[in-house]
Amino acid sequence: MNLLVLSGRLCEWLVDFLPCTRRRRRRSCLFTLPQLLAGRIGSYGVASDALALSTDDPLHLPWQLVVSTAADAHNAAARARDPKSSPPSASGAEAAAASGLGAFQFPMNVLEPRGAELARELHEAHTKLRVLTTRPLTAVSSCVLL
Amino acid sequence: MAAASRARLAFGTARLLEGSAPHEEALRAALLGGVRVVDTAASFGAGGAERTVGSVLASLPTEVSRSVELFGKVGYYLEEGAGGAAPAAATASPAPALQHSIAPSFLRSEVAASHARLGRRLNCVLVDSPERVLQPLMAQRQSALRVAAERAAEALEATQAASEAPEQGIGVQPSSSSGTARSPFLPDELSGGAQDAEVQSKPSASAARDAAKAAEADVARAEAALQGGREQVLAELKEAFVVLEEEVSRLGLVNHEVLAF
Repeated sequence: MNLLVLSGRLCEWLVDFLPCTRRRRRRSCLFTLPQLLAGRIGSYGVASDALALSTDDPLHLPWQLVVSTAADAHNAAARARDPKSSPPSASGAEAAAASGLGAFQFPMNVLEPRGAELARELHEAHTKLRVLTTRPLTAVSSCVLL
Repeated sequence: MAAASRARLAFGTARLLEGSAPHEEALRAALLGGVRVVDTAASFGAGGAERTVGSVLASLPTEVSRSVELFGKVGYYLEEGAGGAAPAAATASPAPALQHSIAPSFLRSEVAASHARLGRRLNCVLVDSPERVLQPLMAQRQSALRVAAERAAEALEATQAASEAPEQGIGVQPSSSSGTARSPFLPDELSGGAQDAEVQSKPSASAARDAAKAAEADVARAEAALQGGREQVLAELKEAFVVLEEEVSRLGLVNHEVLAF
Protein backbone atom coordinates (compact mmCIF):
# COMPACT_ATOMS: atom_id res chain seq x y z
CA MET A 1 0.00 0.00 0.00
CA ASN A 2 2.75 2.40 0.90
CA LEU A 3 4.48 1.58 -2.35
CA LEU A 4 1.23 2.22 -4.15
CA VAL A 5 0.99 5.70 -2.63
CA LEU A 6 4.51 6.50 -3.69
CA SER A 7 3.91 5.10 -7.11
CA GLY A 8 0.84 7.31 -7.31
CA ARG A 9 2.88 10.43 -6.61
CA LEU A 10 5.55 9.23 -8.96
CA CYS A 11 2.89 8.58 -11.54
CA GLU A 12 1.61 12.13 -11.19
CA TRP A 13 5.08 13.42 -11.91
CA LEU A 14 5.56 11.01 -14.75
CA VAL A 15 2.26 11.87 -16.37
CA ASP A 16 2.96 15.58 -16.16
CA PHE A 17 6.58 15.66 -17.15
CA LEU A 18 7.38 12.56 -19.11
CA PRO A 19 5.48 12.38 -22.34
CA CYS A 20 7.26 9.17 -23.10
CA THR A 21 5.55 7.38 -20.20
CA ARG A 22 4.09 4.20 -21.47
CA ARG A 23 0.33 4.41 -21.93
CA ARG A 24 -0.32 1.26 -19.92
CA ARG A 25 1.63 2.56 -16.98
CA ARG A 26 -0.09 5.94 -17.12
CA ARG A 27 -3.54 4.36 -17.27
CA SER A 28 -2.74 2.14 -14.30
CA CYS A 29 -1.60 5.09 -12.19
CA LEU A 30 -4.57 7.20 -13.11
CA PHE A 31 -6.80 4.38 -12.04
CA THR A 32 -5.21 4.12 -8.61
CA LEU A 33 -5.34 7.82 -7.70
CA PRO A 34 -9.11 8.12 -7.21
CA GLN A 35 -9.13 4.87 -5.31
CA LEU A 36 -6.50 6.13 -2.92
CA LEU A 37 -8.26 9.41 -2.44
CA ALA A 38 -11.65 7.80 -1.93
CA GLY A 39 -11.01 6.08 1.39
CA ARG A 40 -10.13 8.25 4.31
CA ILE A 41 -11.00 5.91 7.17
CA GLY A 42 -10.46 2.27 7.98
CA SER A 43 -13.88 1.57 9.44
CA TYR A 44 -16.69 3.20 11.36
CA GLY A 45 -18.83 2.52 14.38
CA VAL A 46 -21.04 3.98 17.07
CA ALA A 47 -20.09 5.49 20.41
CA SER A 48 -23.09 5.79 22.67
CA ASP A 49 -24.18 5.38 26.25
CA ALA A 50 -27.55 4.31 24.85
CA LEU A 51 -26.08 1.02 23.61
CA ALA A 52 -25.49 -0.13 27.16
CA LEU A 53 -28.74 1.11 28.68
CA SER A 54 -31.32 -1.32 29.94
CA THR A 55 -33.50 -2.67 27.16
CA ASP A 56 -36.59 -1.11 28.75
CA ASP A 57 -35.03 2.35 28.80
CA PRO A 58 -36.67 4.64 26.23
CA LEU A 59 -33.23 5.81 25.11
CA HIS A 60 -31.88 2.30 24.61
CA LEU A 61 -30.20 1.74 21.23
CA PRO A 62 -30.12 -1.97 20.37
CA TRP A 63 -26.85 -2.99 18.74
CA GLN A 64 -28.74 -5.31 16.42
CA LEU A 65 -30.49 -2.27 14.94
CA VAL A 66 -27.12 -0.60 14.39
CA VAL A 67 -25.81 -3.68 12.59
CA SER A 68 -28.87 -3.93 10.36
CA THR A 69 -28.65 -0.20 9.66
CA ALA A 70 -25.04 -0.65 8.60
CA ALA A 71 -26.10 -3.46 6.27
CA ASP A 72 -28.74 -1.20 4.71
CA ALA A 73 -26.20 1.59 4.36
CA HIS A 74 -23.72 -0.77 2.74
CA ASN A 75 -26.28 -1.83 0.16
CA ALA A 76 -27.38 1.78 -0.40
CA ALA A 77 -23.78 2.91 -0.91
CA ALA A 78 -23.21 0.05 -3.37
CA ARG A 79 -26.26 1.08 -5.36
CA ALA A 80 -25.12 4.71 -5.32
CA ARG A 81 -21.72 3.71 -6.69
CA ASP A 82 -23.27 1.72 -9.49
CA PRO A 83 -26.92 2.63 -10.10
CA LYS A 84 -27.13 0.26 -13.06
CA SER A 85 -26.31 -2.74 -10.96
CA SER A 86 -29.05 -5.01 -9.77
CA PRO A 87 -30.10 -4.74 -6.12
CA PRO A 88 -27.65 -6.54 -3.85
CA SER A 89 -28.55 -10.11 -3.27
CA ALA A 90 -26.58 -10.24 -0.05
CA SER A 91 -28.61 -11.02 3.00
CA GLY A 92 -28.61 -8.70 5.98
CA ALA A 93 -25.96 -10.74 7.74
CA GLU A 94 -23.74 -10.86 4.67
CA ALA A 95 -24.17 -7.15 4.04
CA ALA A 96 -23.40 -6.43 7.69
CA ALA A 97 -20.24 -8.48 7.46
CA ALA A 98 -19.24 -6.71 4.25
CA SER A 99 -20.01 -3.27 5.63
CA GLY A 100 -17.45 -0.94 7.13
CA LEU A 101 -19.02 -1.21 10.58
CA GLY A 102 -16.14 -2.13 12.80
CA ALA A 103 -16.57 -0.99 16.38
CA PHE A 104 -18.87 -0.13 19.24
CA GLN A 105 -17.95 2.08 22.14
CA PHE A 106 -20.01 2.16 25.32
CA PRO A 107 -19.56 2.44 29.10
CA MET A 108 -18.79 -0.56 31.25
CA ASN A 109 -18.31 -0.39 35.01
CA VAL A 110 -19.85 -1.61 38.23
CA LEU A 111 -22.65 0.94 38.07
CA GLU A 112 -23.31 0.39 34.38
CA PRO A 113 -23.04 -3.41 34.22
CA ARG A 114 -25.09 -3.80 31.06
CA GLY A 115 -21.92 -2.95 29.15
CA ALA A 116 -20.34 -6.24 30.17
CA GLU A 117 -23.34 -8.21 28.95
CA LEU A 118 -23.31 -6.27 25.71
CA ALA A 119 -19.62 -6.95 25.15
CA ARG A 120 -20.26 -10.67 25.59
CA GLU A 121 -23.21 -10.58 23.19
CA LEU A 122 -21.13 -8.83 20.56
CA HIS A 123 -18.26 -11.22 21.01
CA GLU A 124 -20.55 -14.21 20.60
CA ALA A 125 -22.52 -12.81 17.67
CA HIS A 126 -20.08 -10.68 15.70
CA THR A 127 -16.45 -11.42 16.31
CA LYS A 128 -15.52 -8.90 13.63
CA LEU A 129 -16.77 -5.98 15.69
CA ARG A 130 -14.36 -4.40 18.13
CA VAL A 131 -15.52 -3.18 21.51
CA LEU A 132 -14.17 -0.09 23.20
CA THR A 133 -15.37 0.67 26.69
CA THR A 134 -15.50 4.01 28.46
CA ARG A 135 -15.67 5.09 32.08
CA PRO A 136 -14.17 1.85 33.44
CA LEU A 137 -13.64 3.44 36.84
CA THR A 138 -16.49 5.91 36.95
CA ALA A 139 -20.16 6.07 36.09
CA VAL A 140 -22.81 8.47 34.96
CA SER A 141 -26.37 8.49 36.22
CA SER A 142 -28.93 10.98 34.92
CA CYS A 143 -26.20 12.96 33.14
CA VAL A 144 -24.27 13.37 36.41
CA LEU A 145 -20.79 11.94 36.82
CA LEU A 146 -20.82 9.88 40.01
CA MET B 1 4.06 -6.99 28.14
CA ALA B 2 2.87 -9.08 25.22
CA ALA B 3 1.85 -7.29 22.06
CA ALA B 4 -1.64 -8.74 22.25
CA SER B 5 -2.27 -7.27 25.69
CA ARG B 6 -1.02 -3.79 24.80
CA ALA B 7 -4.01 -3.12 22.59
CA ARG B 8 -6.34 -3.61 25.51
CA LEU B 9 -5.55 -0.19 26.94
CA ALA B 10 -6.31 3.01 25.05
CA PHE B 11 -5.32 6.59 25.72
CA GLY B 12 -8.40 8.82 26.03
CA THR B 13 -7.99 12.43 25.00
CA ALA B 14 -11.21 14.05 26.20
CA ARG B 15 -9.26 16.18 28.67
CA LEU B 16 -6.08 16.56 26.67
CA LEU B 17 -5.22 20.26 26.66
CA GLU B 18 -3.59 21.69 23.58
CA GLY B 19 -0.30 23.35 24.46
CA SER B 20 0.01 21.56 27.80
CA ALA B 21 3.51 20.11 28.02
CA PRO B 22 2.60 17.62 30.80
CA HIS B 23 -0.34 16.34 28.76
CA GLU B 24 1.78 15.94 25.65
CA GLU B 25 4.42 14.15 27.67
CA ALA B 26 1.80 11.84 29.19
CA LEU B 27 0.57 10.88 25.72
CA ARG B 28 4.12 10.42 24.45
CA ALA B 29 5.05 8.27 27.45
CA ALA B 30 1.94 6.14 27.03
CA LEU B 31 2.65 5.48 23.36
CA LEU B 32 6.31 4.78 23.96
CA GLY B 33 5.25 2.53 26.83
CA GLY B 34 3.13 0.31 24.66
CA VAL B 35 -0.32 1.89 24.33
CA ARG B 36 -1.36 1.44 20.74
CA VAL B 37 -4.89 2.89 20.64
CA VAL B 38 -5.78 6.56 20.98
CA ASP B 39 -9.38 7.62 21.46
CA THR B 40 -10.07 11.17 20.33
CA ALA B 41 -12.84 13.32 18.89
CA ALA B 42 -13.33 16.42 16.80
CA SER B 43 -15.14 18.06 19.72
CA PHE B 44 -12.41 17.46 22.31
CA GLY B 45 -10.98 20.90 22.88
CA ALA B 46 -12.59 22.11 19.65
CA GLY B 47 -10.05 20.09 17.69
CA GLY B 48 -7.19 20.82 20.07
CA ALA B 49 -6.95 17.21 21.21
CA GLU B 50 -6.58 15.99 17.64
CA ARG B 51 -3.93 18.60 16.90
CA THR B 52 -2.03 17.50 20.00
CA VAL B 53 -2.28 13.84 19.04
CA GLY B 54 -1.04 14.65 15.57
CA SER B 55 1.86 16.65 16.96
CA VAL B 56 2.90 13.94 19.41
CA LEU B 57 2.63 11.21 16.77
CA ALA B 58 4.84 13.23 14.46
CA SER B 59 7.49 13.44 17.17
CA LEU B 60 7.61 9.69 17.79
CA PRO B 61 9.82 7.17 16.05
CA THR B 62 8.17 6.05 12.84
CA GLU B 63 7.86 2.44 13.94
CA VAL B 64 5.86 3.58 16.97
CA SER B 65 3.58 6.08 15.28
CA ARG B 66 2.85 3.62 12.47
CA SER B 67 1.53 1.08 14.91
CA VAL B 68 -0.87 3.44 16.70
CA GLU B 69 -4.55 3.10 15.89
CA LEU B 70 -6.65 6.27 15.98
CA PHE B 71 -10.32 6.15 16.92
CA GLY B 72 -12.16 9.41 16.33
CA LYS B 73 -15.69 10.56 17.06
CA VAL B 74 -17.97 12.89 15.16
CA GLY B 75 -21.32 14.25 16.29
CA TYR B 76 -20.71 16.75 19.04
CA TYR B 77 -18.99 19.99 18.18
CA LEU B 78 -18.33 23.31 19.79
CA GLU B 79 -19.96 26.31 18.23
CA GLU B 80 -16.60 27.96 17.70
CA GLY B 81 -13.58 26.34 16.17
CA ALA B 82 -15.15 22.99 15.45
CA GLY B 83 -13.71 22.83 11.98
CA GLY B 84 -16.72 23.60 9.91
CA ALA B 85 -19.86 25.62 9.61
CA ALA B 86 -22.69 24.73 11.94
CA PRO B 87 -25.02 22.31 10.17
CA ALA B 88 -28.68 23.14 9.82
CA ALA B 89 -29.75 19.92 11.49
CA ALA B 90 -27.92 20.66 14.71
CA THR B 91 -29.75 20.00 17.95
CA ALA B 92 -29.21 21.94 21.13
CA SER B 93 -27.21 20.45 23.96
CA PRO B 94 -27.45 21.10 27.69
CA ALA B 95 -23.78 22.02 27.74
CA PRO B 96 -23.11 25.60 26.67
CA ALA B 97 -21.87 25.94 23.10
CA LEU B 98 -21.90 22.17 22.61
CA GLN B 99 -24.05 21.17 19.66
CA HIS B 100 -24.71 17.88 17.94
CA SER B 101 -25.26 16.78 14.38
CA ILE B 102 -24.68 13.70 12.27
CA ALA B 103 -25.90 15.28 9.05
CA PRO B 104 -24.04 13.83 6.01
CA SER B 105 -22.39 17.07 4.87
CA PHE B 106 -21.25 17.78 8.42
CA LEU B 107 -19.79 14.29 8.81
CA ARG B 108 -17.81 14.68 5.60
CA SER B 109 -16.38 18.00 6.68
CA GLU B 110 -15.60 16.72 10.17
CA VAL B 111 -13.77 13.64 8.87
CA ALA B 112 -11.75 15.85 6.54
CA ALA B 113 -11.01 18.32 9.35
CA SER B 114 -9.93 15.51 11.70
CA HIS B 115 -7.71 14.13 8.97
CA ALA B 116 -6.03 17.52 8.59
CA ARG B 117 -5.58 18.05 12.35
CA LEU B 118 -4.17 14.58 12.93
CA GLY B 119 -1.98 14.60 9.84
CA ARG B 120 -3.09 11.11 8.98
CA ARG B 121 -6.19 9.01 8.51
CA LEU B 122 -8.45 7.76 11.26
CA ASN B 123 -8.52 4.01 11.66
CA CYS B 124 -12.11 4.19 12.84
CA VAL B 125 -14.70 6.96 12.98
CA LEU B 126 -17.38 6.54 15.63
CA VAL B 127 -20.73 8.26 15.26
CA ASP B 128 -21.12 9.85 18.67
CA SER B 129 -24.46 9.52 20.47
CA PRO B 130 -26.81 9.18 17.50
CA GLU B 131 -29.69 9.05 19.97
CA ARG B 132 -28.96 12.64 20.97
CA VAL B 133 -32.12 13.88 19.23
CA LEU B 134 -34.20 11.81 21.67
CA GLN B 135 -33.09 13.62 24.79
CA PRO B 136 -35.31 16.71 24.40
CA LEU B 137 -38.18 14.43 23.43
CA MET B 138 -37.56 12.42 26.59
CA ALA B 139 -37.68 15.62 28.63
CA GLN B 140 -40.99 16.55 27.00
CA ARG B 141 -42.39 13.11 27.76
CA GLN B 142 -41.34 13.28 31.40
CA SER B 143 -42.84 16.74 31.72
CA ALA B 144 -46.09 15.54 30.17
CA LEU B 145 -46.19 12.55 32.52
CA ARG B 146 -45.63 14.80 35.52
CA VAL B 147 -48.41 17.16 34.48
CA ALA B 148 -50.73 14.24 33.77
CA ALA B 149 -50.09 12.80 37.22
CA GLU B 150 -50.83 16.16 38.81
CA ARG B 151 -54.04 16.62 36.80
CA ALA B 152 -55.17 13.11 37.62
CA ALA B 153 -54.63 13.77 41.32
CA GLU B 154 -56.51 17.04 41.08
CA ALA B 155 -59.38 15.34 39.28
CA LEU B 156 -59.50 12.67 41.94
CA GLU B 157 -59.52 15.25 44.70
CA ALA B 158 -62.20 17.29 42.99
CA THR B 159 -64.31 14.20 42.48
CA GLN B 160 -63.93 13.22 46.09
CA ALA B 161 -64.70 16.73 47.24
CA ALA B 162 -67.89 16.62 45.28
CA SER B 163 -68.69 13.22 46.84
CA GLU B 164 -68.99 11.73 43.38
CA ALA B 165 -66.62 8.87 44.19
CA PRO B 166 -66.49 8.50 47.96
CA GLU B 167 -65.16 4.97 47.66
CA GLN B 168 -61.93 6.10 46.00
CA GLY B 169 -58.95 6.69 48.22
CA ILE B 170 -59.34 8.69 51.40
CA GLY B 171 -62.83 10.04 51.57
CA VAL B 172 -64.10 13.22 53.20
CA GLN B 173 -67.37 13.45 54.99
CA PRO B 174 -69.72 16.39 55.20
CA SER B 175 -69.86 18.02 58.60
CA SER B 176 -73.16 17.69 60.41
CA SER B 177 -72.84 21.16 61.84
CA SER B 178 -71.76 23.31 58.89
CA GLY B 179 -72.34 21.08 55.88
CA THR B 180 -68.77 21.58 54.67
CA ALA B 181 -66.41 18.69 53.84
CA ARG B 182 -64.03 17.86 56.66
CA SER B 183 -61.15 15.48 56.90
CA PRO B 184 -61.71 12.40 59.03
CA PHE B 185 -58.03 12.52 59.96
CA LEU B 186 -57.71 16.11 61.11
CA PRO B 187 -59.31 17.85 64.04
CA ASP B 188 -62.19 20.10 63.07
CA GLU B 189 -60.39 23.28 64.02
CA LEU B 190 -57.63 22.45 61.51
CA SER B 191 -59.53 20.84 58.72
CA GLY B 192 -62.78 22.79 58.56
CA GLY B 193 -61.84 26.29 57.48
CA ALA B 194 -58.80 25.24 55.53
CA GLN B 195 -60.72 22.64 53.60
CA ASP B 196 -63.54 25.05 52.86
CA ALA B 197 -61.06 27.37 51.21
CA GLU B 198 -59.43 24.46 49.35
CA VAL B 199 -62.71 23.17 47.98
CA GLN B 200 -63.67 26.63 46.80
CA SER B 201 -60.37 27.08 44.97
CA LYS B 202 -60.61 23.74 43.15
CA PRO B 203 -62.05 23.55 39.66
CA SER B 204 -65.25 21.66 39.32
CA ALA B 205 -64.98 17.88 39.12
CA SER B 206 -65.90 17.80 35.44
CA ALA B 207 -63.40 20.54 34.58
CA ALA B 208 -60.70 18.68 36.50
CA ARG B 209 -61.49 15.50 34.63
CA ASP B 210 -61.31 17.37 31.33
CA ALA B 211 -57.92 18.76 32.33
CA ALA B 212 -56.76 15.26 33.22
CA LYS B 213 -57.90 13.92 29.87
CA ALA B 214 -56.14 16.76 28.08
CA ALA B 215 -52.98 15.96 30.01
CA GLU B 216 -53.30 12.30 29.03
CA ALA B 217 -53.59 13.36 25.41
CA ASP B 218 -50.40 15.39 25.85
CA VAL B 219 -48.67 12.26 27.14
CA ALA B 220 -49.86 10.32 24.12
CA ARG B 221 -48.53 13.03 21.83
CA ALA B 222 -45.20 13.02 23.66
CA GLU B 223 -45.01 9.22 23.33
CA ALA B 224 -45.75 9.48 19.63
CA ALA B 225 -43.09 12.16 19.23
CA LEU B 226 -40.61 9.91 21.03
CA GLN B 227 -41.46 7.01 18.75
CA GLY B 228 -41.02 9.31 15.77
CA GLY B 229 -37.71 10.38 17.23
CA ARG B 230 -36.54 6.77 17.39
CA GLU B 231 -37.35 6.34 13.72
CA GLN B 232 -35.53 9.60 13.00
CA VAL B 233 -32.46 8.32 14.84
CA LEU B 234 -32.29 5.22 12.67
CA ALA B 235 -32.89 7.24 9.51
CA GLU B 236 -30.13 9.70 10.41
CA LEU B 237 -27.83 6.86 11.40
CA LYS B 238 -28.34 5.18 8.05
CA GLU B 239 -27.54 8.42 6.21
CA ALA B 240 -24.41 8.80 8.32
CA PHE B 241 -23.39 5.21 7.66
CA VAL B 242 -23.84 5.67 3.90
CA VAL B 243 -21.44 8.61 4.07
CA LEU B 244 -18.95 6.60 6.11
CA GLU B 245 -19.28 3.61 3.77
CA GLU B 246 -18.08 5.96 1.04
CA GLU B 247 -15.20 7.06 3.26
CA VAL B 248 -13.99 3.57 4.13
CA SER B 249 -10.85 2.66 2.27
CA ARG B 250 -11.32 -0.60 0.41
CA LEU B 251 -7.63 -0.87 -0.21
CA GLY B 252 -6.61 -0.96 3.40
CA LEU B 253 -5.17 1.79 5.52
CA VAL B 254 -1.59 2.65 6.27
CA ASN B 255 -1.24 4.43 9.56
CA HIS B 256 1.69 6.63 8.69
CA GLU B 257 0.39 7.63 5.34
CA VAL B 258 -0.12 11.35 4.68
CA LEU B 259 -1.47 12.02 1.26
CA ALA B 260 0.01 15.03 -0.44
CA PHE B 261 -1.88 14.96 -3.70
